[in-house]
Amino acid sequence: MKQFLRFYAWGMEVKLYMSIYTAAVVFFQGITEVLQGRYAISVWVLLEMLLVSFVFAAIQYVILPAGEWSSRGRLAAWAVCANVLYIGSALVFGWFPGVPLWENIVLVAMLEVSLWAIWFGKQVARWRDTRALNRSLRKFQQEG
Amino acid sequence: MKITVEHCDTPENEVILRCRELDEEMLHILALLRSGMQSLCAFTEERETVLLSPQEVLYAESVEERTWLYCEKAVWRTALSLSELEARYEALGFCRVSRSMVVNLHGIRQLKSCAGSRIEATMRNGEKVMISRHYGPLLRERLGM
Repeated sequence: MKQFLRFYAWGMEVKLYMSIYTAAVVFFQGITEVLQGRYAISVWVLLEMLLVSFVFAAIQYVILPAGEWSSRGRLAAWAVCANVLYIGSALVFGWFPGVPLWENIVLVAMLEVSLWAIWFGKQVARWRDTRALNRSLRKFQQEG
Repeated sequence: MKITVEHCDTPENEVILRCRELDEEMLHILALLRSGMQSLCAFTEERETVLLSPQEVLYAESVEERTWLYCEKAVWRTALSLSELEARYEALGFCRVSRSMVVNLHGIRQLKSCAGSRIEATMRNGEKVMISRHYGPLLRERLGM
């Protein structure tokens, strides 16, 4: 039962991030397709994106377990994995065919900004938690 | 609740609680008064004993089956276990924060949310105490979060 619950927790966490990352990649794929006058995405490409996002989310679960977002080494490993997996997959599977160089540069820049935004979101959550903790502590100390 | 402080010529300080019945609020005040009057018997390795007020203790730590009381400027030993300290002085803000540590919540200067769902507490004397992931939710509960 304990093993199952652990697997279930793992599944919930990995599926959540897999969904977020898949949505982001599909969104950028959609934009590049529209810019080139195409309005369809292959089901195979969608499946590839889903699979790559699942692999990345699973790696993230190992590298950055809950709350470990302040370790610089782990963050660097996580960012390198994201770059290798997504840029590598885009090249291998040909996710963005016919995209000019400047658009490729913009896509890589967007990947980096997205990674920074995820890290920043985690930091903001921690700052807010620290503030809430101290507010509750002061209240407790005044009441006691 | 009405609080009145009377200054009079009395040989000993006295607290009188007037109420229709002993409700939760009054019981809490009674517990606080009783635990406040309880002094903590502490001693040094040389068996020099001292009676400490629980409020003086910042945190208690168990090291090799001995319980140490950390005050702002001194460290004392006590015969009480961490569980006993927690049970006796819970109403005064004593809270278990790890398997080997009980912290006086009134002795904390500030808290910081850390990696791995842990919480770092900076005590009044500047010492830092790490609250484990297991005990973090209990601390949050004590703080009414």
